[in-house]
Amino acid sequence: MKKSTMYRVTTIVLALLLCFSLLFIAGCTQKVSGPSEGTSINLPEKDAILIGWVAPLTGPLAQFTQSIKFVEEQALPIINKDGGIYIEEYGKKLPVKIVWADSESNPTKASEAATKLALSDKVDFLVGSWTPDTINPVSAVAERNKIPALMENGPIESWMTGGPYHWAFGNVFSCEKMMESYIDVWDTAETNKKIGFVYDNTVDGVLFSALNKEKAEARGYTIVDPGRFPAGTKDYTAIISQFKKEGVDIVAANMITPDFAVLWKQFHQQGFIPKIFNIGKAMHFSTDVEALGGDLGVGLLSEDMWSGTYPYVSALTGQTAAELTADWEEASGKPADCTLGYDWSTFEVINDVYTRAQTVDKEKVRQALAETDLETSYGHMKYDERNISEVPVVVSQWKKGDKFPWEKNVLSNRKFPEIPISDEKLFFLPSSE
Amino acid sequence: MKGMSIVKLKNEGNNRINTESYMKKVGIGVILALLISLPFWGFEYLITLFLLIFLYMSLGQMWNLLAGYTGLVSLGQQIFIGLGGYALAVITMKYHLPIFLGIIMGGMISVIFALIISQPIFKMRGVYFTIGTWIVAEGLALFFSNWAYVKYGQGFIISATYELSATYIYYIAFAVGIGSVALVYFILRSKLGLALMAMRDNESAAEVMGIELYKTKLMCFLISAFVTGITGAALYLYLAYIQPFAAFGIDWTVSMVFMVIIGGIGTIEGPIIGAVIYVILKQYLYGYPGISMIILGVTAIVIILIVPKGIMGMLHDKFGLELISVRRRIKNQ
Repeated sequence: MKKSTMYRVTTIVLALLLCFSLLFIAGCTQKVSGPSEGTSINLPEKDAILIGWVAPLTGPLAQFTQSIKFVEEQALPIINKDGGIYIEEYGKKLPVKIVWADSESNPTKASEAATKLALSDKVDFLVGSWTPDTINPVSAVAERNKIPALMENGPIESWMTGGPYHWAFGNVFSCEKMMESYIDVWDTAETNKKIGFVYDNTVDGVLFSALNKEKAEARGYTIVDPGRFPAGTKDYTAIISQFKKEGVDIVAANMITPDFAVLWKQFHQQGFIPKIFNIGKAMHFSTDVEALGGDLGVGLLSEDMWSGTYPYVSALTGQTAAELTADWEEASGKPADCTLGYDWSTFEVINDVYTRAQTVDKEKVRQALAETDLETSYGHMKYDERNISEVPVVVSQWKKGDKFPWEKNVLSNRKFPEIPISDEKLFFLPSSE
Repeated sequence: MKGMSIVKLKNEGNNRINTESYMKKVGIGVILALLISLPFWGFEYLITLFLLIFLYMSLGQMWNLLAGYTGLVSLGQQIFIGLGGYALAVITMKYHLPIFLGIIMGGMISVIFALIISQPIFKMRGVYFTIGTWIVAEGLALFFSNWAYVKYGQGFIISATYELSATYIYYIAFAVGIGSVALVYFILRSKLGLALMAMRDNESAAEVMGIELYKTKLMCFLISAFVTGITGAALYLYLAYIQPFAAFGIDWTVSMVFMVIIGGIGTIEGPIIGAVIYVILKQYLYGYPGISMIILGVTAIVIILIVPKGIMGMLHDKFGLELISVRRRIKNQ
């Protein structure tokens, strides 16, 4: 092989580079000059309004998405009957289509999945569902890529640390009101006003314990706080011993379901049952209460985010919460949980926004979202200056049911008086001293 | 006559090697030129894809430096990713200082922490070292989730990154990714690299020859900590939300191991190939909830069964292909 061959190869490569550069410059020049007079601006081909939906479809948070696909199957045919929603710039109706992405219950993957939806699938709208680990990163992606977005479920206090938001809007709940609702329930009972804290060191545990302490002490309660512990802890003996020693009547806890199962069994094994046990996050779902085994779930207090007793009507189907619940129960054979209300209301808001906006222009859709004023399955949706529509959260107590093995009584609704309270009052935990 | 033909063959061989080497350099030059100019001709998703490839490539290069060249199999590189990410978050969100400072601090804090833990960690060997690094990472996750300064387990939404364009982050990722490859190349071509190769072949013999094993391993550990810390900060520039359990989670190391093993451990090209495969596969799999992890796992198993040395290892064995060779060659006489 001679040197001349090397030069030949180099020449060919440089020639290719030159061609490429010329093509590139040509391309740039074309972008700079606009369309000539008399021609209309060509819109990209579009056959659907794409909603990119990031949710924890797998992983530890997967329980929260149990009804999402069911609601999609019910809601989309209604939205898309007669071809969909009229979009002015295309002069025709476009159906709504959901593009799903699994966050795998991981915020890193939620962020990457949301970016893929925004840039590769080129969605018109983003939705992030369930807990700060999903809604926080998806909101950031929406802000960066300037896409209108709706977040469902998460504490306001955590979500607002990333604000102020322009593109992301939240159907989110107030931790402060949740804590105050718990204290409202405790006020109805004869106790020694001593509360033992069992909060893990996750986002929720840290936030809720701080809020709870502030609110409860202001209302005359004494806190016994052994400190935050990591998720996955297997031995709660030290905590339980401290509560026994201090003689707490009320225990307030927040942890994931498997950890609570371990904790609650240890309470029984070590023979200490308080009068009232408040468990956040772990016992939202009746399947979790059932999984505790036997009657261990009887009397546990939990926050209640939605149920068939709520006085709301679907903006899509006109059904009451009770009727939506009945549909789900018939189709799945399982009792309805809070997820149903959230999921339905998200579809209702999306339908309403595009019906009013009649465009896929992102800024105009964002504006329409900001102007939402709609009665939905989850109450009145209207976004304030922080882009928040606060959803109700009350307190309920688990009991053995008639129709399903486990049912709830709503006990406290002072912050949300439209939610009906049960006729049955708070009862102390069985076997409590 | 015979002597003449031997000289002729030798000259032909040298010429072939020179041509190959020259063409490789030109090829690399063209690729670099295309990558530098990508934001001008590529669409936004492509820019984001390459941004991720560069960052994951950097992680893979550093894990490979430790495992493939130094013989230190670490399951704790996420320590530095988390420290880098939190440095960025605290610098930008608590003190409102420039992003670049956050990235540099990510590297600095990582290398200081690596120095501190190197004392106890290097007393452990083999699988104990591996588990030890993982335990440190898990310990950090717990510590951060109990630390008020970093907002406990709530973490930070890094809103300072909202206004950053994909192009801006792309060039940071480009510098980090290409920089990591260049760094590994120059390390392996240096005295340190010769020491690593000697240690890889036979540690005792290398020690007898005067190579300081502890110092060599420590140097690589610190270098990889620094670069991984910077990469972690750049990653969180893109992700915009950090909380301790994800930042210090084992998932990061799983991705590094996947990339390096699939690409080819102990090669410079291996992590590059692995990063491309991993990023593209993951992007594709987000649309397949429930079976994405199965597909990823099966892909890894199949590739390992077919090509146990990784793709680059196989290409090298079968075709003698080496795109970025660190070997020294005697020049044409």
